[in-house]
Amino acid sequence: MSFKAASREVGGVLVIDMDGRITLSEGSELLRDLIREKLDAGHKKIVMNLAEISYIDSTGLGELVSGYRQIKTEGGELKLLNLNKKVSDLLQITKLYTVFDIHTDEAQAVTSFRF
Amino acid sequence: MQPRRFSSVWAIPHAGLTYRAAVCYPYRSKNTGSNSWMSSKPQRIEVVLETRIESISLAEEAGVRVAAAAGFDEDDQYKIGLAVHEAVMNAYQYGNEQQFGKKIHVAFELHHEKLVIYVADQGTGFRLSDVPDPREDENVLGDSGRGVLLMKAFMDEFDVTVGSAGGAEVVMVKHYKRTIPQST
Repeated sequence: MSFKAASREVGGVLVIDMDGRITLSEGSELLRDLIREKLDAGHKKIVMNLAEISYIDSTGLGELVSGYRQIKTEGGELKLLNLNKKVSDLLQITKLYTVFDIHTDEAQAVTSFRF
Repeated sequence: MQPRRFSSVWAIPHAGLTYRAAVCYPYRSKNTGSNSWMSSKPQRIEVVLETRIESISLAEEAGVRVAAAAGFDEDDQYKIGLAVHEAVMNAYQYGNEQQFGKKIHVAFELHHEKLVIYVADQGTGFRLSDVPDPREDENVLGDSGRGVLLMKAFMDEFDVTVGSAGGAEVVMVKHYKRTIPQST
């Protein structure tokens, strides 16, 4: 399934619900453009809900890391929400679980921002 | 009973896919996990792909289908598919440097105990020892370099050698899970 994303605001936090695959050919470029667009629109508190992400490759992981760095550089924070087992395993293998703030509850993710 | 053929593996319409040796026989029954066909000679399926982005998911799908036909469970099918995806993506991006005229050779070999996968490009090759560990503190925030780690994690054996065309050849092995007979 190709990559799709829909955004909504919850308590001043932008929650992006994602669906499909994040790979070199599907999703990674769209994800990059989406993050740029949201930062340009002034959003600094971003939660990516990955519940419906079925597949991520190493390029997709790289894009998540790139987004994390970009948001942080511009004074924002990125949190991840609802990782399925496949995505969670990839973050464990690559040690990226030490980089991202990962949540299983949306309300908790929204209230976890420090600013 | 006539053994099921692998020919359906390649029933994927796509201009970028050419193939040779498209027929093979499964080693294991999907229902019992037992070896239904044995030979000392491995069955080999070779695929020659164009250097184009669509070849990555195409090879992944072929890997999943071969793994399914060989009797691997869904979790291993995913892992084998992702390993093939990463190997072909490396060949596309770094080996052949997205040059359309170059080819990516993928081969699946079904042995008695294992599935062996070869992915060769027509680049200049690379040494595995030169690939930095993306888990190290200085690399963990990098954009790239995780493909080799994922292939190593998802396959039982992983190596990079020099292919016949002089480029890199990734060799990956996944062993069949042994079924322990239940005593009655």
